[in-house]
Amino acid sequence: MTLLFLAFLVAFVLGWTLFRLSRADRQPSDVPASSSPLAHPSFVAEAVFSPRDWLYIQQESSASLNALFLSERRAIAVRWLRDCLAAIRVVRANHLRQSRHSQDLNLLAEAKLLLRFSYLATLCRCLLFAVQFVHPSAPHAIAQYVQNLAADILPTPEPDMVLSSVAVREVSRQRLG
Amino acid sequence: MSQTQTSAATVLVDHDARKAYDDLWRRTLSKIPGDLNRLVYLASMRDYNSGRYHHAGLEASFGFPAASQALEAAHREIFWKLAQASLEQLVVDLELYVRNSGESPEDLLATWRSLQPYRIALPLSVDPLAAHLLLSNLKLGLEVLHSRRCPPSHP
Repeated sequence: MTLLFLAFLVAFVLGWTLFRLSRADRQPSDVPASSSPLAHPSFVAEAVFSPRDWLYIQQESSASLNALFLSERRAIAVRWLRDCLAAIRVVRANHLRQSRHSQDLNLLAEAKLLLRFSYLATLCRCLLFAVQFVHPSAPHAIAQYVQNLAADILPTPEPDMVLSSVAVREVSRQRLG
Repeated sequence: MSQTQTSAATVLVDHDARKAYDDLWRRTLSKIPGDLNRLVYLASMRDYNSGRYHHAGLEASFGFPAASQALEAAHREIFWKLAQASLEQLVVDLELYVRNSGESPEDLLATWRSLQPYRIALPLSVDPLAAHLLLSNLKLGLEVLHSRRCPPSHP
């Protein structure tokens, strides 16, 4: 009975993943060629998937706070993953458009690149599936891995920090307490 | 490109804007306790309709464009610092804000939890997910402060 249930569960997960993959594969044609996607700053994924804030919330010993924290973090995690998927689709579509006009196309390199896009997209979908059911900090290591892979493919903006000498002194003073 | 789309680093290549920025920090921002207080102060310098920043003193000394650019750069800078802060740091900043507001903490927490006025304290054209993270952390921070003041009663 348990074996039957597990087989059904595996079939469901596979079916769902294939369904999502087939839907995602149809989308690149809808993407405008002029789009220039950017990954989100790296600290966002780190904040969402790291256990740092969760450990702090747990100290408050409040069930409602724990529940609110989980729902808030899940919402950001899902948005981050969906944005990653959308950005991958845009980059992949732009690359395919450019490849069609290329004179010296390296088929092996192209295949490797497409495989990389698909690998990253699949990881994002698996994470998207996982965060619905497990604690967002559980797949922390995978999320970090996805973040690093995405950073290789998508340009990542970093905060435009411009500290004046006064601001630097002020920040140092605050840090020293 | 609109003023708000320009990154702070690019904006402050302008010599007058850089001087205005240093002046803003020296005379004003360094005297405001906590980054959340600074964020709210800088947001209050922005016109609700046009999105332009105004500060009479800075404009008199450095002119409108430099003053406006300096205010926007500082606003974005404080936003990034808060967005990267841990929840624990943000709660400390929120406590500081509540203490310095001059309002009763209960009233302020009730207003902030229901109206969420902090939503309009963010600069324009920042990364939407970083903004989402900061707003979410502020919401959580307010709930932490509220639960500390009014702990849920256990039957």
